[in-house]
Amino acid sequence: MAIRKRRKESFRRGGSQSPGPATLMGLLLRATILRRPDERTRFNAEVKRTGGIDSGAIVNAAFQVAVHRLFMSGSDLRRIAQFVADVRRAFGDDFPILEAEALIREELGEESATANIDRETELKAKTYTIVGVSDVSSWTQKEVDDLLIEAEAIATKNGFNPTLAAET
Amino acid sequence: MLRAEIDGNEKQWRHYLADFRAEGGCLEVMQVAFHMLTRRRFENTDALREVSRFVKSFNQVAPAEERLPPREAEAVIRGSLGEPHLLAAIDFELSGNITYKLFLALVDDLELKPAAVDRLLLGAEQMLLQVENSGIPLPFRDITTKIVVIGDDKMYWRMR
Repeated sequence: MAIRKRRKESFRRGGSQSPGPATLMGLLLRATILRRPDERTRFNAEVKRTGGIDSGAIVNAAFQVAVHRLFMSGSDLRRIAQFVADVRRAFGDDFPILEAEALIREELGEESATANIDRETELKAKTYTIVGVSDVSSWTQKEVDDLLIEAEAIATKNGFNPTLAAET
Repeated sequence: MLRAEIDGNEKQWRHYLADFRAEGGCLEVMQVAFHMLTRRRFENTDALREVSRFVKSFNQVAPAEERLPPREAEAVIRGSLGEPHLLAAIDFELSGNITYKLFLALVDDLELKPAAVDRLLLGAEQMLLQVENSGIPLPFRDITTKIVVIGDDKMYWRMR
């Protein structure tokens, strides 16, 4: 509820073309996806300063939505393999390709080897995947915002209470 | 040495291992044979799912200390099947050990008889010679030379 209220207030103030994410992590993800380095640095510092409560829930939900936007359950697994290979090519060795593919397959209900993936690697794999899905889909800012708004709603529905941007 | 290991003939294996170490050998023949086996086992199947099933099946029957890291094991097989970029995500030594274990697992899974093993290894040796004569560098040389079996002192656990 707090997220929705904050978003409406922001929209009324005319701060942006469309209502965007209201959480700190939502805004950090948006800056990352849209390649806005200054915003990214600022929100990243804010997340670190505040501890970014329940930030992981936003990343998890955004990953879930992004994966289902690009792939369907029962998809040809070669499409996923090609996608992660493309993301690896684009972002280099920092992208944990094996873990990302396993996590995507798991999200789609496939049998998948996701045991023993540490939290940091998981978040990295999921964040790169979100950015990669946006890139290959050539999402507009509105489409990115829609994804993040949906992710915030999922996180809230799942009982998380992520840090709101204006609270910082 | 490979044939002795496949046969479970430890005495002969130790004999060849000593020669192998003395000559500073590497296991390119095994790598080529592994490639031949992955194609035989997984081509014309829903390969990616079948690779996952294969690794899972291996780990279900292997003792805990012999189990393969599943993501890396799948990547080694898929690297051989045409996704070499996956191998770049794995440490060379780990990749070499996984390859050796998977090679033996494939021999067992395909239930290769001694004569078939001989044909396989002979074919691998011939292919290796042809490749070397052509001057094309082998992409897996760095991997095979670092396989831990060279410094280890026991035969691998087997599925059968």
